[in-house]
Order: sequence, then C-alpha cells, then structure tokens
Amino acid sequence: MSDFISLYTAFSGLTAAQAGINTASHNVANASTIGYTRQQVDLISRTPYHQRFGQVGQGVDIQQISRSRIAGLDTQVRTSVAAQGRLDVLSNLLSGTEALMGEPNSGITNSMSGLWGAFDELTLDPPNTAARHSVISALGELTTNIRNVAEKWEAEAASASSLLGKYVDETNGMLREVAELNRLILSASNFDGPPNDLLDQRDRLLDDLSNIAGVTATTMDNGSARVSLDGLSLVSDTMVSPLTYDPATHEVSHSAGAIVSVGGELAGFQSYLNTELPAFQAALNDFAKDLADGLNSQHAFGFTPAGNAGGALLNYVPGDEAASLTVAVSDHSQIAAAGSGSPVAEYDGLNAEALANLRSALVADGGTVSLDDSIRSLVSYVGEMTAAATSGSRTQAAMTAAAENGRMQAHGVSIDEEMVNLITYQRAYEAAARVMTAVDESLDTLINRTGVVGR
Amino acid sequence: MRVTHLGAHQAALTRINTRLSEYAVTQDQLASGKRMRRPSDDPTGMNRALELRAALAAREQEGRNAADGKMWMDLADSKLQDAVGQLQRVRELAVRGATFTSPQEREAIALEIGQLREDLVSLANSQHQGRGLFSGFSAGDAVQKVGGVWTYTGDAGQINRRVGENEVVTINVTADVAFGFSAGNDVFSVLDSLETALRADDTAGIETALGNVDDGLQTVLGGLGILGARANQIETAIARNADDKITLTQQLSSLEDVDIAEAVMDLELQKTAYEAALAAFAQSSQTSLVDFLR
Repeated sequence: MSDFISLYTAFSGLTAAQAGINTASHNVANASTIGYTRQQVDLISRTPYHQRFGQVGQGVDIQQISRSRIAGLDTQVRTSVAAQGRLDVLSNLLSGTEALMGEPNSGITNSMSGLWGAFDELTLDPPNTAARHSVISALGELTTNIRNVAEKWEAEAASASSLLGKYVDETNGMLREVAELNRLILSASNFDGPPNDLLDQRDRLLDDLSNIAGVTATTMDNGSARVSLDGLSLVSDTMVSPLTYDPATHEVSHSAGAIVSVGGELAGFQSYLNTELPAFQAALNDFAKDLADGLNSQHAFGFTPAGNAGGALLNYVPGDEAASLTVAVSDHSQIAAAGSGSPVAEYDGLNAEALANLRSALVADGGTVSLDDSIRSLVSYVGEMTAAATSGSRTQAAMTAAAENGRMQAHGVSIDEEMVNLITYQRAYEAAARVMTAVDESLDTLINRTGVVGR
Repeated sequence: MRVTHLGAHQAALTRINTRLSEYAVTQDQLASGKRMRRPSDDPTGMNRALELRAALAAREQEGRNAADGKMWMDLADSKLQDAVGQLQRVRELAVRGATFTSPQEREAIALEIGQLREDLVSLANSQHQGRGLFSGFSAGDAVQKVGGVWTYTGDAGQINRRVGENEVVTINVTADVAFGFSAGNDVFSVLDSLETALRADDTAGIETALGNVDDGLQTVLGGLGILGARANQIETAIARNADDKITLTQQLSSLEDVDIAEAVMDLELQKTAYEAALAAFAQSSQTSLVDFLR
C-alpha cells in the first residue's frame, strides 16, 4: 500500500474535526431558536485494509449529521398542546360570556331586585303616578338587561363561529405547508443525509397543528409525515385532504365527506358553540318565559284604575323569549294594581301586593323555584363552567410547560456541552494536523534524506 | 438529567410569571377589597352572595314598608285617642245634662255636643298623604250624612304592608269598625239622638243615649286595641328588620370581601417568592463554561 495513506488518514481526521466544529458552531448559533434540535456528527471508523500482519485503520468517515431527537417526547408535547388549545379557547370564550352578564353588580339579578322594589312601592301608594311609572321603568330596565345579554351572547356565538371557520382555513394552510415540507424532505433525503433543518421546521408545524386541531402525526419510513385526524388521513406524502367547516352545525368534515371529531382549539370553539352556550341560552330563554308568564298571569288578576282587567306586562316571541322580551305597557293607567274591579277603589293595591309577593313565589322552572333562584342558578352555572375551563386551562398549562420543557431539555442546545465538543474537536483537529506534520516529516526523511550516503 | 440553557431559561421564566401572576391577583384583591369579582371566581360563593344581595334588597324594602306602615298607624292611633277624649267629654256633658235641668244649660250642652260630633266626623275623615285614614281603599270621606242618615262611605279594604319574609301586617281599621257602623250603633247617630234628647229634656232618651255613648267608647277603644296589637307586630318587625340587615351585610362582607390582614400577609409572602425567583434567575444565568475558557 501507498506510504501516503497516513496522510489521507490524518486528512479524514481533519475533515471530521472540521465538521464537528461546524456543527457545534451551528448548535451554538441556534441555542435560542425555538424548536431547534441539537445536531450531532455521527462518526464511524473507515474499513481497514489488510496487511499480512493484520488490519490497518484508514481513518474516520462522517456517517451523517443527525438530530438528537426522541420521538416519544413529541407525542407527549402534542397531546398536551392539543388539550391546552381546547381549554384555552373554551376558557377565553366562557370568560367573555360570563363578563357579558355583568354580574354581580349590573346584571339581571340587580334589575330583578329593582322590579320587586317598584312593586312594593306601588303597594304603598297605588294611585301614585310616579310609583306606577317606576314600575314601567323597572320593567324596561329588566327587559333591556335580559335582551342585552341574549343579543350579546348571540353576537359572541356568531364571532366564535366565524373564528372557527378561519381557524379551519388556517389548519388547511398548515396542512399544505406540511405537504410541501414533505416534498422537500423526500427529495433532499434522496441525495445527502437527513435535511435536519427542514425536519425541525416540520416538527414545529406539527406542534402547531396539534394545538389548533389536535391532529395525530406519524413519520413514515420514507421520511414523510402522515397527518391524520379521527383516523382519516389529512396529509399523506404530498397529498392534502382539506377540512371544511359548516357554519350551520359547527361541524368540521373531511374532504371525503365524513364529519370528523376535531381536537385542539377547534374543539374548544365547537364545544362552546354546540354545548356550553346553547345550554346557557336555553336557560336564559326559560327564565325570560317564566318571568313574563309569571308577571302576566298575576297582572291579569288585577284591575286598572278604569276598571279593566290587567293586560300583559311583558311580550315575547315563543322560542326566542330572551332576545324578544319587551314591555307591553306604556302608560301608567295600564298598570293593574287593584285587586277588585267592581268598583275599583282608588287606593286598592292588592294586586300590586300580589305582584310584589312573586318575589318569593315558586313560579319558575315548572313551579319548583322562584324567579330570583332561577336567574341566580343560571349565573352560577355560567360561573361554574367558566371556573372549570379556567382552572383546567391553568392545570393543563403547567403540564404543557413541563412536557415542553422536558422536550427542550432533551432536544435543545446546552452551551456547556457545545463548548466541550468544540474543545474536543479543536484538539482533534490540532492532533490530526500534527499527525500530518509527522507523516510529512517521515516522508521528507524518506525522500530527501535516503540514498545520499557519501554524497 | 440533561439541562439546556434555553430550557433552563424558559423554566425560570415560567416560574417568574407564575409568581408574578399570584402576586398580581392578591394585589388586585387588596385594591378592590373584593375576594370575588366574577361568578367564576367562586361559583358557589357567588350564588350565595347574590342570594344575600337579593335578601338585603328585600329587607331594605320591607324596612321602608314597615316604616310607612308605622307612620300610618301612629297617626291613626292618635286620631282614635282624640276620639276617645271627645267621647269621654260627651259622656261628662251627658251626665251633667241628665242632672241639671236649666233649659239654657241643656241647650249649651247640646250645642257643645253638636260641636264634638263635628270634631268626631272630621277625625273619622282625617287623611294621611291625601288618603283617608279610616276609609279603606276608598278615596272619599269615610263618614257622611247620606239622606239624613250617618253612613260609612268607605269600603272594607284592608291595607297591607309586607314587613318581613312572608309576614304581612294589616295597618288600617275602617271607620266602619272603629266608629260602630258595623255594630249598627254608630257614635254619630248616638250623638245626634243625645242632642235631640237634651233639647227635648227627655231624661229617658238621655239615659239611653248615655248607655250608647259608653258602647261607642268601647267600640273606639276596641279599634285602638286592634291598632295597638298590630303596631306591636310592626315594631317587632322593624327591630328584626334592622338586625337582619346587619346580619346579612356581615354575611355578605365575609363572603365577598377580602380579609385585609390575610391578604397583606399573602402579598408579602408572594412578593418575597417573586423576588427570590428573580434573584435565583439573575444568579444562575450569569455563568457558563464560556466564562472559564481562555
């Protein structure tokens, strides 16, 4: 074999050390890059050549530059961020819903107390025009309050629904990006080593996709990522099956037509739109109906100063009670405060008294609770749901932070470690250079100093 | 365990944020003085707080109702006391009229009795805020002469005041009851016949009328008795109402308000924890191997 072989051996060491230094430098440069995976140079000793006395090593080969990534940690983080996305969206929406009620200082419960007070004041002085007017304005304040809550909730639902649509579009955009990255990765892998930085980019995208839609991602043998949801494939190699959103049912379906159960932030919107908010709205409608029916039926027992039986105090459209609740009386003479109509005594306030007594009467929820109880339990129902989502989101945030931190510790760059690597490779480089010098000197001896005896 | 610098920094940042947000919550509670700002801060507590608020509003209204009722009853009571005084004077005059025989004197007595009757009529028709005290729900006079006969022209309306949860007090007596119309022996007609008997020097008539005056006196005293019993009830209700309001306010405060001493302590602790987290980060993030390589 050639005498120059040792030069090549030393050169391989130089190249390896150079690659090591380059990689360490890349790692240090990306020490603060979120989602960056520490890279390492995988070295392997070259196949030796055979001499009659044994095998002589030929140096080192760079097998590849790989990412030190543990796939199990990704699964943990993605499951966690999907749950996080759902709870964050839900708790945000519910907090908004709760705030729109204005409880405890300026909400419906407050106007209810105002109404009962107005009826009591009317009892004190039935023919008093001011007292009659304050009943009408208390009714007005209460109905405005109820209508406001109903309308704002409806607006909240509309904006949540349009946001959900946008998020579905965003998901589709991300799916296309994954497919594009798959294409780049597939073509790059065919030539030279793993395209680490593209892989990092794709992993980051898959994290985001888990957060937004709770997708499942699997890496296939060819290096492409398969993204699926609810068992249906969304991205396979470079093929994308986009999701579509139906604003009427708030369902998300696969391009094949099947409705898929989504996770992540999309699930948060969906749960709010299909479960929590409709329950609140139904309870508010029930309350508005019970309120109107309760007041109207008692009012009908009474008589106006002119001797007519009391008409309706409140009007509503069945099926949409809360949002359509209005005051039916406009003039003080329409208030039926008297309990007896033949003839109407001027100071008869028996029906005003009966109306005031509705305060504690069991007229709501099929005659099981009072109106005050009914609205109060709606307030605490909204509060409970919000509190559950908020505390769930807080707990989940701690878990997500722990999972993300665990992954970051495993995948991220440790400056100390890179410094040690840098010194190691620097020394290796120096040593390889020294070897070259040594070989060069021996060759010099061989070439220039041999065969000159007696010259 | 492998530790990376970015990871360590992120973890430290999370810790610092957690400490700071705890600190902010306590600060917010101290500044507002409220433990619960939204229903979700404590759903069960908020439900109870809203119940207490509604109860407090109800008690306040009941307090106003009771005060209104009390005023009414005090006035009615004093009017009936006056009526008792007038009737006792009538009785004295009637006794004198039965014993003295001078026609001029009897005429003078008759005149005074006529005057007293007019006083009694105006007492029975007295008003409170434009509303007849003894006429039930009716707006007009309680007592009038209709076709030459004394008649109760009010109605039987019972004026009620809600003075507590499920406690209603009737605050009025009608002239029908208090002046004897319902018993068929109204004091006004009695006084009329007394006057007539005095002028006619009809001793037997005077005696009969005297007996009827005594009955009338008993009737008015009966009315006073009814009012007195109800006034007691309303006074008890007013006292209880004041107690209830204090209790409710205390309960509401203990439910909604921040325990200042405890919150200040918490704030101090959280401040220390926050500063410790900051200091720990500042200390630990200073060094790496780089500092020791030449």
